[in-house]
Amino acid sequence: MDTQIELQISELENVSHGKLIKFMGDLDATNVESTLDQVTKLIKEGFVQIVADFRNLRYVNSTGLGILLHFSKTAKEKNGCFKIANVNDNVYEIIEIIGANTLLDIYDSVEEAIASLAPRR
Amino acid sequence: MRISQQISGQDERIMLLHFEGDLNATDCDATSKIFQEIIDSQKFFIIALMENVTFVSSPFLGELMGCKLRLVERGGNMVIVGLNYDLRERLIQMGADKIFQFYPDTHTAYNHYHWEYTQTAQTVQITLPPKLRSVPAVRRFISGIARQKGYSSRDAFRIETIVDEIANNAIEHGDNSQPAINVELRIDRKKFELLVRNKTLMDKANQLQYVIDSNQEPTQGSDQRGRGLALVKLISNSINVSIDKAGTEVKITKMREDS
Repeated sequence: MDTQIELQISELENVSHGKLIKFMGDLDATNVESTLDQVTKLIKEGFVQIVADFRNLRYVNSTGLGILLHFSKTAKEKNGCFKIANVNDNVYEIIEIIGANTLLDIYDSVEEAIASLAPRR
Repeated sequence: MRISQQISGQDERIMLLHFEGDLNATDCDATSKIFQEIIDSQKFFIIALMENVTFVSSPFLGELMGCKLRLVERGGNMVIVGLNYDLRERLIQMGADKIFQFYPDTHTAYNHYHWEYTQTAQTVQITLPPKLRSVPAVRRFISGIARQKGYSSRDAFRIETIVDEIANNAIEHGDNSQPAINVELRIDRKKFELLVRNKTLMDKANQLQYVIDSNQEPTQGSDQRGRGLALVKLISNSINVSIDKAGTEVKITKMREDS
């Protein structure tokens, strides 16, 4: 049985081309493809200012980190961003060990991440 | 109070002390003498059997604490077995659970002794189908064992990561015809060992050896295998690979953080 991960996607008020994605569950090799599809679809639709809320993301492995780096790179290539907030200590440690904390934009809270985005014009 | 002693039939390093009746202040001196005799006989591990105890006074509890201290100072311990619910609650109210471990039966007390003092590793063997979807349950199961064995949440998370990365690797880079992946976990109080055996094509096995021997940074390149193994190298204490015609065996050792 694949690990459950749920992505709840909502609008980001006052942010043009913005979306908030709440990650819930474990992000691993069994569900990277579906996660990749959902977020890539958003980016292709032009939503390139993305805040990912990791409050309920319990676990991430190297494959999951790979697609997070991919989202960040792809959004930046389209003049956007992929910001992460509310990372739990265990997940943050893995991100840090792998050195991805220097490549990903990580914030303590969703509010801080949203405040750093370009406002709607 | 009645008290009798008996060397354990399971392990002669353990003394069984049977207590019966009310344990009052007036019993402290006699109890202290018995403990001293046991210590003089070079036995420092005691299982106090209290299923027939009806009352424990505060002074007697204090005496037991002192006796336990004398054992601990000599590298030993004393645990309490078989207390009835009311007495156990009373002792917990008196803070005794901060000093003593309470166990429901001697079997559990022996397990505690072997785990804490004899460095006996416990082994779990798992055979899983070579499908990625079989890995999450296995990694969570093994992480749960680590938590149950007293490893910290951080250690358990790292162990979960190690199992996940190595098992995924064995499946993704294994021979397509391999019937199963064999995972063996050995855990003791101080360290965790994971052995993952699978059937790998020789060129992929050599590639695995190369990735493990290299000093690649985890974020270098886009190769998932390299990133996962680099992560495992960073969170474990050693990683060894043995390759032969029968297959590949990866052995990871991780020391317990607070050991």
